[in-house]
Amino acid sequence: MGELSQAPDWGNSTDRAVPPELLLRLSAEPSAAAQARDALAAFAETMPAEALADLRLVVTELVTNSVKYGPGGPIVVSVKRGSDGAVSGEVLDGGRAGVRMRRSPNPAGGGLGLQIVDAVASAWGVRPRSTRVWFRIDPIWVA
Amino acid sequence: MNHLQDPEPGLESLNGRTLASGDLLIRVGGDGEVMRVSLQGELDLSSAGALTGELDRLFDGRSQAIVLDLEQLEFIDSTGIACLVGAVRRDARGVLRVAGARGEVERLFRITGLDGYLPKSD
Repeated sequence: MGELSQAPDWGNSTDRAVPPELLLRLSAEPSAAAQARDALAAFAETMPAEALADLRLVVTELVTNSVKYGPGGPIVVSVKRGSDGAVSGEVLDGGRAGVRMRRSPNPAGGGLGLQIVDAVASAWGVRPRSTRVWFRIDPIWVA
Repeated sequence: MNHLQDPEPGLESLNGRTLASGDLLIRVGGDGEVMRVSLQGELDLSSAGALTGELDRLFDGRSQAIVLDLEQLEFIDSTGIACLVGAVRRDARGVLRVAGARGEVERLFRITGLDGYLPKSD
Protein backbone atom coordinates (compact mmCIF):
# COMPACT_ATOMS: atom_id res chain seq x y z
CA MET A 1 0.00 0.00 0.00
CA GLY A 2 1.12 3.52 -0.68
CA GLU A 3 1.58 6.16 1.93
CA LEU A 4 -0.05 9.51 1.70
CA SER A 5 1.43 12.51 3.41
CA GLN A 6 1.46 16.25 3.10
CA ALA A 7 4.41 17.56 1.13
CA PRO A 8 6.89 18.98 3.64
CA ASP A 9 7.92 21.97 1.60
CA TRP A 10 7.34 23.27 -1.91
CA GLY A 11 9.95 26.00 -1.71
CA ASN A 12 8.52 29.46 -2.06
CA SER A 13 4.96 28.80 -0.99
CA THR A 14 3.99 31.17 1.81
CA ASP A 15 0.23 31.10 1.43
CA ARG A 16 -1.04 28.04 3.29
CA ALA A 17 -4.53 28.61 1.88
CA VAL A 18 -3.35 27.62 -1.61
CA PRO A 19 -2.91 23.86 -1.04
CA PRO A 20 -3.81 20.95 -1.20
CA GLU A 21 -0.45 19.54 -2.08
CA LEU A 22 0.22 15.83 -2.27
CA LEU A 23 3.28 13.64 -2.00
CA LEU A 24 2.70 9.94 -2.58
CA ARG A 25 5.06 7.01 -2.35
CA LEU A 26 3.62 3.95 -4.08
CA SER A 27 4.82 0.38 -4.46
CA ALA A 28 5.32 -0.61 -8.09
CA GLU A 29 2.29 -2.91 -8.29
CA PRO A 30 -0.80 -3.06 -10.55
CA SER A 31 -2.96 -1.17 -8.02
CA ALA A 32 -0.54 1.79 -7.79
CA ALA A 33 -2.46 4.00 -10.22
CA ALA A 34 -5.77 3.34 -8.44
CA GLN A 35 -4.14 4.30 -5.13
CA ALA A 36 -2.91 7.52 -6.71
CA ARG A 37 -6.40 8.31 -8.05
CA ASP A 38 -7.89 7.77 -4.60
CA ALA A 39 -5.39 10.24 -3.14
CA LEU A 40 -6.18 12.83 -5.84
CA ALA A 41 -9.67 13.11 -4.35
CA ALA A 42 -8.00 15.65 -2.03
CA PHE A 43 -8.17 18.09 -4.96
CA ALA A 44 -11.87 17.54 -5.67
CA GLU A 45 -13.10 20.61 -3.80
CA THR A 46 -10.59 23.03 -5.32
CA MET A 47 -10.58 21.98 -8.98
CA PRO A 48 -13.19 21.94 -11.76
CA ALA A 49 -14.42 18.40 -12.41
CA GLU A 50 -12.96 18.41 -15.93
CA ALA A 51 -9.50 19.41 -14.72
CA LEU A 52 -9.63 16.76 -12.00
CA ALA A 53 -10.55 14.17 -14.65
CA ASP A 54 -7.51 15.26 -16.67
CA LEU A 55 -5.31 15.03 -13.57
CA ARG A 56 -6.58 11.53 -12.74
CA LEU A 57 -5.88 10.40 -16.29
CA VAL A 58 -2.37 11.91 -16.54
CA VAL A 59 -1.27 10.54 -13.15
CA THR A 60 -2.74 7.13 -14.00
CA GLU A 61 -0.84 6.91 -17.29
CA LEU A 62 2.49 8.03 -15.80
CA VAL A 63 2.24 5.75 -12.74
CA THR A 64 1.23 2.83 -14.96
CA ASN A 65 4.26 3.46 -17.19
CA SER A 66 6.47 3.35 -14.09
CA VAL A 67 4.83 0.10 -12.92
CA LYS A 68 5.26 -1.52 -16.35
CA TYR A 69 8.64 -0.18 -17.43
CA GLY A 70 10.33 1.24 -14.29
CA PRO A 71 13.04 -0.43 -12.19
CA GLY A 72 10.48 -1.81 -9.71
CA GLY A 73 11.26 0.41 -6.73
CA PRO A 74 8.93 2.94 -5.13
CA ILE A 75 7.11 5.37 -7.41
CA VAL A 76 6.91 8.92 -6.10
CA VAL A 77 4.08 11.20 -7.20
CA SER A 78 3.99 14.88 -6.29
CA VAL A 79 1.14 17.19 -7.22
CA LYS A 80 0.60 20.79 -6.26
CA ARG A 81 -1.95 23.41 -7.14
CA GLY A 82 -0.59 26.86 -7.89
CA SER A 83 -2.20 30.15 -6.91
CA ASP A 84 -3.23 30.62 -10.57
CA GLY A 85 -5.29 27.43 -10.42
CA ALA A 86 -2.91 25.40 -12.57
CA VAL A 87 -1.96 21.99 -11.24
CA SER A 88 1.56 20.71 -11.75
CA GLY A 89 3.26 17.54 -10.71
CA GLU A 90 5.92 14.92 -11.26
CA VAL A 91 6.13 11.14 -11.31
CA LEU A 92 9.49 9.50 -10.79
CA ASP A 93 10.58 5.90 -10.41
CA GLY A 94 14.36 6.04 -10.25
CA GLY A 95 14.80 4.86 -13.83
CA ARG A 96 17.56 6.29 -16.01
CA ALA A 97 16.57 5.18 -19.47
CA GLY A 98 14.50 8.18 -20.52
CA VAL A 99 10.96 8.25 -21.81
CA ARG A 100 9.85 8.75 -25.36
CA MET A 101 6.64 8.55 -27.31
CA ARG A 102 6.29 6.12 -30.12
CA ARG A 103 5.26 7.74 -33.38
CA SER A 104 2.41 5.36 -34.09
CA PRO A 105 1.06 3.77 -30.97
CA ASN A 106 -0.52 0.37 -31.32
CA PRO A 107 -3.69 0.59 -29.20
CA ALA A 108 -3.51 -3.09 -28.33
CA GLY A 109 0.16 -3.06 -27.57
CA GLY A 110 1.49 0.06 -25.91
CA GLY A 111 2.60 3.63 -26.39
CA LEU A 112 -0.95 4.92 -26.12
CA GLY A 113 -0.48 6.11 -22.55
CA LEU A 114 1.89 8.97 -23.38
CA GLN A 115 -0.26 9.92 -26.38
CA ILE A 116 -3.12 10.37 -23.93
CA VAL A 117 -0.90 12.41 -21.59
CA ASP A 118 0.07 14.56 -24.57
CA ALA A 119 -3.59 15.11 -25.48
CA VAL A 120 -4.79 15.90 -21.97
CA ALA A 121 -1.95 17.76 -20.22
CA SER A 122 -1.35 21.43 -21.00
CA ALA A 123 2.38 20.70 -20.99
CA TRP A 124 4.62 17.77 -20.04
CA GLY A 125 8.17 16.62 -20.40
CA VAL A 126 10.95 14.44 -19.06
CA ARG A 127 13.87 15.58 -16.90
CA PRO A 128 17.20 14.85 -18.66
CA ARG A 129 18.72 11.38 -18.20
CA SER A 130 15.84 10.13 -16.08
CA THR A 131 12.31 8.81 -16.20
CA ARG A 132 11.21 11.73 -14.05
CA VAL A 133 8.16 13.04 -15.90
CA TRP A 134 6.63 16.44 -15.14
CA PHE A 135 3.26 17.77 -16.23
CA ARG A 136 1.02 20.80 -15.94
CA ILE A 137 -2.76 21.04 -16.25
CA ASP A 138 -4.18 24.54 -16.69
CA PRO A 139 -7.46 25.44 -15.03
CA ILE A 140 -9.37 26.11 -18.25
CA TRP A 141 -10.31 22.88 -19.91
CA VAL A 142 -10.82 22.86 -23.66
CA ALA A 143 -12.54 19.87 -25.22
CA MET B 1 -27.01 -21.55 -18.74
CA ASN B 2 -23.58 -21.65 -17.31
CA HIS B 3 -22.66 -23.20 -14.01
CA LEU B 4 -19.21 -21.82 -13.51
CA GLN B 5 -17.66 -21.45 -10.12
CA ASP B 6 -17.84 -18.02 -8.59
CA PRO B 7 -14.83 -16.94 -6.51
CA GLU B 8 -17.16 -14.87 -4.33
CA PRO B 9 -20.25 -17.01 -3.65
CA GLY B 10 -22.11 -14.12 -2.02
CA LEU B 11 -22.19 -12.30 -5.32
CA GLU B 12 -23.36 -15.24 -7.39
CA SER B 13 -26.63 -15.05 -9.26
CA LEU B 14 -28.61 -17.88 -10.81
CA ASN B 15 -27.50 -17.49 -14.40
CA GLY B 16 -24.36 -15.46 -14.13
CA ARG B 17 -21.45 -14.46 -11.99
CA THR B 18 -19.72 -11.45 -10.56
CA LEU B 19 -16.00 -10.89 -10.20
CA ALA B 20 -14.18 -8.12 -8.42
CA SER B 21 -10.72 -7.13 -9.65
CA GLY B 22 -8.97 -3.98 -8.50
CA ASP B 23 -11.62 -1.26 -8.45
CA LEU B 24 -13.73 -3.03 -11.07
CA LEU B 25 -16.84 -5.17 -10.66
CA ILE B 26 -17.56 -7.47 -13.62
CA ARG B 27 -21.07 -8.89 -13.81
CA VAL B 28 -21.73 -11.61 -16.38
CA GLY B 29 -25.28 -12.71 -17.07
CA GLY B 30 -27.54 -13.99 -19.82
CA ASP B 31 -29.02 -17.16 -21.26
CA GLY B 32 -25.80 -18.43 -22.82
CA GLU B 33 -26.65 -17.28 -26.34
CA VAL B 34 -27.08 -13.62 -25.50
CA MET B 35 -24.74 -12.49 -22.75
CA ARG B 36 -24.30 -9.18 -21.00
CA VAL B 37 -21.02 -8.19 -19.33
CA SER B 38 -21.59 -5.14 -17.12
CA LEU B 39 -18.66 -3.17 -15.77
CA GLN B 40 -18.86 -1.02 -12.66
CA GLY B 41 -16.00 1.09 -11.34
CA GLU B 42 -12.58 1.61 -12.92
CA LEU B 43 -10.85 -0.31 -15.72
CA ASP B 44 -7.05 -0.05 -15.59
CA LEU B 45 -3.93 -2.19 -15.14
CA SER B 46 -5.31 -3.77 -11.96
CA SER B 47 -8.47 -5.06 -13.66
CA ALA B 48 -7.84 -5.38 -17.41
CA GLY B 49 -6.53 -8.95 -17.07
CA ALA B 50 -9.71 -10.12 -15.36
CA LEU B 51 -11.91 -8.57 -18.07
CA THR B 52 -9.77 -10.10 -20.82
CA GLY B 53 -10.17 -13.49 -19.16
CA GLU B 54 -13.96 -13.17 -18.94
CA LEU B 55 -14.37 -12.03 -22.54
CA ASP B 56 -12.07 -14.76 -23.86
CA ARG B 57 -14.08 -17.34 -21.92
CA LEU B 58 -17.24 -16.06 -23.62
CA PHE B 59 -15.57 -15.94 -27.06
CA ASP B 60 -14.74 -19.63 -26.59
CA GLY B 61 -18.35 -20.45 -25.78
CA ARG B 62 -21.49 -20.55 -27.90
CA SER B 63 -22.65 -16.99 -27.32
CA GLN B 64 -24.22 -15.41 -30.39
CA ALA B 65 -24.14 -11.92 -28.89
CA ILE B 66 -22.08 -10.35 -26.11
CA VAL B 67 -23.00 -6.87 -24.92
CA LEU B 68 -20.30 -5.09 -22.94
CA ASP B 69 -22.24 -2.59 -20.83
CA LEU B 70 -20.14 0.43 -19.81
CA GLU B 71 -22.99 2.47 -18.31
CA GLN B 72 -21.54 2.20 -14.79
CA LEU B 73 -17.87 2.36 -15.79
CA GLU B 74 -16.49 5.55 -14.26
CA PHE B 75 -12.87 5.49 -15.42
CA ILE B 76 -10.76 3.96 -18.18
CA ASP B 77 -7.11 4.51 -19.15
CA SER B 78 -4.82 3.40 -21.99
CA THR B 79 -4.53 -0.09 -20.49
CA GLY B 80 -8.33 -0.38 -20.48
CA ILE B 81 -8.50 0.91 -24.06
CA ALA B 82 -5.90 -1.68 -25.09
CA CYS B 83 -7.97 -4.36 -23.35
CA LEU B 84 -11.08 -3.42 -25.38
CA VAL B 85 -9.19 -3.15 -28.67
CA GLY B 86 -7.57 -6.53 -28.03
CA ALA B 87 -10.96 -8.07 -27.30
CA VAL B 88 -12.45 -6.74 -30.55
CA ARG B 89 -9.47 -8.17 -32.46
CA ARG B 90 -9.82 -11.60 -30.84
CA ASP B 91 -13.58 -11.68 -31.43
CA ALA B 92 -13.31 -13.96 -34.45
CA ARG B 93 -17.09 -14.45 -34.70
CA GLY B 94 -17.86 -10.74 -34.40
CA VAL B 95 -20.31 -11.16 -31.51
CA LEU B 96 -19.10 -8.34 -29.24
CA ARG B 97 -20.96 -5.01 -28.98
CA VAL B 98 -20.21 -2.12 -26.64
CA ALA B 99 -22.95 -0.06 -25.00
CA GLY B 100 -23.42 2.82 -22.62
CA ALA B 101 -20.05 4.65 -22.51
CA ARG B 102 -20.47 8.05 -20.84
CA GLY B 103 -18.58 10.74 -18.98
CA GLU B 104 -14.82 10.29 -18.68
CA VAL B 105 -15.02 6.96 -20.52
CA GLU B 106 -16.82 8.44 -23.52
CA ARG B 107 -14.36 11.36 -23.56
CA LEU B 108 -11.32 9.05 -23.68
CA PHE B 109 -12.96 7.06 -26.49
CA ARG B 110 -13.19 10.33 -28.41
CA ILE B 111 -9.61 11.41 -27.58
CA THR B 112 -8.17 8.09 -28.73
CA GLY B 113 -10.44 7.71 -31.77
CA LEU B 114 -11.83 4.50 -30.32
CA ASP B 115 -15.46 5.66 -30.60
CA GLY B 116 -15.35 5.01 -34.34
CA TYR B 117 -13.65 1.64 -33.94
CA LEU B 118 -15.73 -0.17 -31.33
CA PRO B 119 -18.83 -2.02 -32.53
CA LYS B 120 -21.79 -0.42 -30.76
CA SER B 121 -25.06 -1.96 -29.68
CA ASP B 122 -27.04 1.23 -29.15
